[in-house]
Amino acid sequence: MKRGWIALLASLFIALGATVWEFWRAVPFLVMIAMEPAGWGCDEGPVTDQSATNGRGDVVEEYIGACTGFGTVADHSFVLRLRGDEKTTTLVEHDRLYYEYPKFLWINDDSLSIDLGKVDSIGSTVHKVGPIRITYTYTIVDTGWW
Amino acid sequence: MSLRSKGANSGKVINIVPELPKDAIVVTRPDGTTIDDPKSPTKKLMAPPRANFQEVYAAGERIANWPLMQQIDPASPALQQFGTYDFQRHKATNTYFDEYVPAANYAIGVYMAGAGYNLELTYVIAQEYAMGNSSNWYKYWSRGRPWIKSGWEDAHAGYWKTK
Repeated sequence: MKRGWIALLASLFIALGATVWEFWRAVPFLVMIAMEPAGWGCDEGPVTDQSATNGRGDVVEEYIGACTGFGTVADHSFVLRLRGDEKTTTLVEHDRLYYEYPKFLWINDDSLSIDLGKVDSIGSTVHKVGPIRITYTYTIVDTGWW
Repeated sequence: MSLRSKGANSGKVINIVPELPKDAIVVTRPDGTTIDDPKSPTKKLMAPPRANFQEVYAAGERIANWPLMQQIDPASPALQQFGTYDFQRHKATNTYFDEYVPAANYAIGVYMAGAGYNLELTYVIAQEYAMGNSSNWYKYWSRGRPWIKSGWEDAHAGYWKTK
């Protein structure tokens, strides 16, 4: 019984040592990342050539935030800016879309349709901003590739 | 068509190119095979003409046996914003290419495999970075990770070794 406990503790000790040894190799990179001020290595802004404006001057457009430090994380979303308003409203955050998307369609000044095509996942959607109703078209697909 | 920038490019406005540039190349392994990317217009992993993944692997290999703390000095300018292997940004033209993000993450995997890091450790570092820099970091596993994994696995399999 005692030998069993010793063997178990020895195994745990070896496993812990192996874990620490492996983790230790990551420390310099983790320090490098931790030393960066928040937002360092990031670019963000609207993609004005992926936008659509209605007759009243309200604008919907793609918005990208991309940070590079160890790999790149790119946050994509659509934002809506009402005419004369400096503030934008985020409509939905989404994953990287298939190439020919998004497709924005102003049905009239108060109705906007956004086609995202096939998506792996999307965030929660905003359906009304001021007088504007927004509808979304998309298909959730599991490509199996991801 | 512009982005605000922080970091190496702090204070400048960066141009954004959402579409695939005309001079983009299909990433082709030395054995002639290509890598699928269903979201790319070509359905293949695309990269800028300057992308040389054998060079990326060799750069990783060069630091493999260095003391850990000394590995950061060459790794930082290689991997960070506007770094040598930041394939989605072009320093001379101050441009960001959204369609090159997969190639840039693929390069991270290749570099870390060359440097002798296992895939799990590479994930830990990438996840740490994503947590601090993405509002959707929890979704990072479905974004950058597949490309980091793909690069690491290809490099580990020997595709990008030069000798």
